[in-house]
Amino acid sequence: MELLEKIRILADGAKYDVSCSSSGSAGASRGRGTGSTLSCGVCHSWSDDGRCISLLKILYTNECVYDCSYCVNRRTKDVPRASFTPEELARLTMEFYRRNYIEGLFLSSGVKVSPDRTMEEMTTALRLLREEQGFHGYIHVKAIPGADPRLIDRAGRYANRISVNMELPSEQGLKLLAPQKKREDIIRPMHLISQKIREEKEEKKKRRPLPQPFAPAGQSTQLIIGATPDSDTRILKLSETLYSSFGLKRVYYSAYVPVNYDSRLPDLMKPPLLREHRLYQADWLLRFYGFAAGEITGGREENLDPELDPKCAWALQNMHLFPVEVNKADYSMLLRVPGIGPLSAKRILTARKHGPVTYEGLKTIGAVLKRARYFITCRGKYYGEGLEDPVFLRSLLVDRREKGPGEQLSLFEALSPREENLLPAKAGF
Amino acid sequence: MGTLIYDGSFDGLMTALYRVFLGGDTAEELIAEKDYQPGLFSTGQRVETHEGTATAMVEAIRKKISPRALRHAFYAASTGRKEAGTLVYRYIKKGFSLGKALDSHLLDPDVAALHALSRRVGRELHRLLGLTRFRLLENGVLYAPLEPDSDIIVLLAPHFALRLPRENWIIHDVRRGKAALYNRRQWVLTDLERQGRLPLDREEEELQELWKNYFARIAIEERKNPRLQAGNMPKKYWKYLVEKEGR
Ligand code: SF4
Repeated sequence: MELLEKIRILADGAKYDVSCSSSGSAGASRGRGTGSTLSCGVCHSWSDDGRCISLLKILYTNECVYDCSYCVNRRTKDVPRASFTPEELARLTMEFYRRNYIEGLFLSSGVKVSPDRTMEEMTTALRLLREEQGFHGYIHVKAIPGADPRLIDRAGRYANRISVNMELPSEQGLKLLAPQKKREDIIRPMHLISQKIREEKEEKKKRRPLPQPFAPAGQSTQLIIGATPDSDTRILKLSETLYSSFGLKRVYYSAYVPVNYDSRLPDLMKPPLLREHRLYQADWLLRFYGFAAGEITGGREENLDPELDPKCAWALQNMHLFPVEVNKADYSMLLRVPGIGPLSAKRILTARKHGPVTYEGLKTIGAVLKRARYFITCRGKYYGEGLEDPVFLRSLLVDRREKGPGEQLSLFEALSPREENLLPAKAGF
Repeated sequence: MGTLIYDGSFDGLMTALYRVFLGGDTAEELIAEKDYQPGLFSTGQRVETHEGTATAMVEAIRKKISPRALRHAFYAASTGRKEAGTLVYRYIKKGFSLGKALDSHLLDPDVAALHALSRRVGRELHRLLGLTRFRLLENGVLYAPLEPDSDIIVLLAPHFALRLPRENWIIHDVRRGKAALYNRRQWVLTDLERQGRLPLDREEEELQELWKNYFARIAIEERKNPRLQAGNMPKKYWKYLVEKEGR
């Protein structure tokens, strides 16, 4: 089969995987090879759906012995099948990389013959790329559930990041939609990976850096949203656990795109993009804003408010904490003001050193006041309205832009570096 | 109100600043030659760029203010905007009285104005780290044409020297007629005119085809969102993007 045909098939099979981040490790080949990695991610293009393309996100093969009902690659689906050879994949990655099309490779796969066999071939491709082609760019590899831990270990030593897709947030969901997969098969490698990463971190503290560290940019996972009845509350609780107990770097959420007809799947007309968007916003609150999952969902077993940014929703439930005086509040409280992100909060603290911050001053330092003004005072003065009347205030805060006809408006801001979303690591400039 | 006119280069700007701060000239306005229009009551004074003087000024900024302030000034100047010279002048002037703390005075209008310019360049630089596209030429050189808003190929070159150390490459600012050339050891900046059609390596078209197909296939039909795409990847950069060329 022609390489062109393979790419078409294998990109098709990979596109529902959402992770594209290339951040989290910095280094360079220093003349011995090709490639470097940056601690901040770099997008190389944006596809027609507006999502960032950073890595060559592709399957090693779309053949699969499993039959997960939500998946385009399931055994029973009538689609053309293809597999790379390790040489083809290594060459393709290298040629794309030197033209600066991509930041690196994100290799996932269906399960061809067996998990071990698949993991082995993927690892061979990575070895060729690293050892023979001298590639020092970013590699994110999927660990195939059920593969031998030794194979996962080897793959992880060639990769910057390794991940196991949880896909379904609950055990019941997994039983129903992917009966051949056992929760154990997913949890075990995740455990193993997080343990290994932790051990090596300890090791590194004691001695000099290891020659071939295991997944230095950490572990991530992906959850499918809307294929099972799991509520946002449940999902956020799960993410919180994954961050705290497993030390994951990212949890990705992927709105379920109805690719198969199956009586066990919900009858969705469109992927639940707005819900996915709210989850990303809430996830951001978990990772960078010091929120606990229970605070965001208010302890109720339900979905996030579709009409409100989760921080606004939280603030409306906690009006006794507002308004906040920008000249007195500490960093963590500033971060809780709707519309103020890490970057603005830091700038406010910096500016405060030289005198009081006025309302105009907030604009000067680039804070976005559209929402914030309802929740702050500057030198005692309140510039918004509605503080006494949460119902009225709610109507002011509702995300009109996102209430358009479809759900197709700008829903992906969670993935693009807008003020509220800027990673703290990049703040300060 | 005095005006100093410099040649538009960063060295030129630094030479002019030196004259004001250390050479006893007075001026309120620093303007690049290309933007200068003689006024009715004022005449500008031309400053001859002098490398040694410029270096002395750069060192003074680095030591008496901070390396970061120097970077902000450099970024702001690379916008090539008419007001850039004067804004840099006001910013550096504040810097000599505030010292290291300069960049924490976020409410100061001179500091805020300069940061805004500098951020604009930082943003474009970050975008182009991703959006630069090399084409492999027949002679084995990787060639990337660009038309950035700001004069930033000198900021892109170090990144690619680190990333593609074993290649020969050219990053060409087509509109400004200059290029960064790299020969597997170091990069230099030179003048380079607009090029005609360059002979491509025989595998180049195949590779471009592979990339274009990948690009088309990775989008999810049900999520099509051209507005978001153009918001993230402004159309002004599409001209040299292999996957968007001619669209
Ligand atoms: S194992 Fe993976 S590729 Fe195979 S059907 Fe299930 S989800 Fe799809």
